[in-house]
Parts: sequence; C-alpha cells; structure tokens
Amino acid sequence: MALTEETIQDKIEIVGDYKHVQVRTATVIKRDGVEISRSFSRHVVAPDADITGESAEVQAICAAVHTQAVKDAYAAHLAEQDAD
Amino acid sequence: MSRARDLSDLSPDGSGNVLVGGGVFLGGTGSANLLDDYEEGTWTPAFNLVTVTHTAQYGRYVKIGRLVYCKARIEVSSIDNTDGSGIQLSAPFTANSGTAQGGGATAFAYDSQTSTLMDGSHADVHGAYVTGNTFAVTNDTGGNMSYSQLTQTSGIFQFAFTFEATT
Repeated sequence: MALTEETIQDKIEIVGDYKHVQVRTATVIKRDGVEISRSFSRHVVAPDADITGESAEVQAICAAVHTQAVKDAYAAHLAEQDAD
Repeated sequence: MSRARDLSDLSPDGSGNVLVGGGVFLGGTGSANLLDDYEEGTWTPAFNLVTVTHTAQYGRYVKIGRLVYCKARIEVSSIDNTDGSGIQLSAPFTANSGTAQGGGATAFAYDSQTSTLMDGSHADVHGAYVTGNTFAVTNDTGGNMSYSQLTQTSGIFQFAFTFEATT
C-alpha cells in the first residue's frame, strides 16, 4: 500500500471589478493511486499584491489581467475606502 | 403531503453521497434559487502591516453559494501599535462589495484570551467590512480602526466574519 500526497492549484479564477485572482490549492492524498482525500486552501491575489511567490501560472495570469489601468482603478478604490 | 424521495441510490460509489456537477434549484427555478457551490477549506490570514511578526496564522472558511463564513486566529509576537493605518487582513475570497451590491458589511469579534488587545478588553464586537479580498475593522466613530488603537504589541487575535462573495 502506497500513500502519496500531491498539491495542485486546481482552480484559478478572475473575479470582481478589479480582477482579483482567486487561487484554490488542493492537497490530494492517494492510496495506491486512488484518491482518498482532498482538502482545499485558498488565497486571493489583489492587483497591488507582490506576486513573486506565486506559481508561474498565477504570475502569468496576473501579468495579463492586472494592467496599469486596473492597478490605478484599484488604488483609487482603496483610497476611497480609506477616506470613508 | 408529498413524500421525500431517497436519492442515495444515485450514489455512484455506494457511499450515499450524491455528486451534482451543476447546482440545485431550491424553491423555484430562477437564478436566485440556484445553489451551485459548497466548499470548506483553509487560508492563511495575515495583517497588512509591514512591521508585524506573525507567529501563528490559522484560517478556516465555509462557503455556501455566495455566502462565506470565515474564522481566523492570528498570533503575533510584535506589532507596531503606533501605526495609524487601518487594521486589515486578507480574506480567502473576493467580496461582492460594489456600491450596487450594498457594501461588504459584516461582523467582527475577537477574544484575546491571554492578553488584552484592541481597546483593552478580552472580547469585543466591532463593525467591519470586506472589500476586494481585504477584511477591515471599523471603530466606534465610523472610521477604520487603526493599529495605533491597540493597547499591546503582542497577543492573540480571533476573528469571525461573514460576507457575500462575487461568485
């Protein structure tokens, strides 16, 4: 009997007005190649986030959707929130 | 009176669990009646402050449709309680918090257990909101609660909050 564990980013979504990138990471446990457990961990990458620690796939998506216009709009949104 | 039908015979592996690839309409067939997501998991909550040392970060969430319930425990060994910026931490989902969606109002509670934080009490409830993926705490005067309102520089924070996600 062999137990293995693998971690995969099984869902990457672009959501909201400011193109937040939602990343779901699944930890999959398999017994002799058959999945017996799957648990999830989440994080969200905002337009102003440091993406150096993200996977290459997430970095590529962020580079595509977090344009300067999106970053500027998000910064303006945050400034508006702080002013409230 | 109608009789509920046992769906366990639809279980593909005999476990009694039924897999629904799409969603389930409850009480009607409109899009507002569609329940199409359920998920439990973890995330790593972190304060947005640069001058903070997290020693433990635990976060769990339950998502039912768009409704997201989160609870978090953050332990810090040092935090800059002279910083005037608002207390914020990351959330596991993006909130549906635009003006037309009525904001991201939520509730906030904490129990510092071993030390006194925030306004000096051991448990408290504050207003809060989630915008984007940022959970923020408000103070009694309508503004954002700042780190400078903390009375100590180390301890335990515990949060529970609920918000509506974008999808």
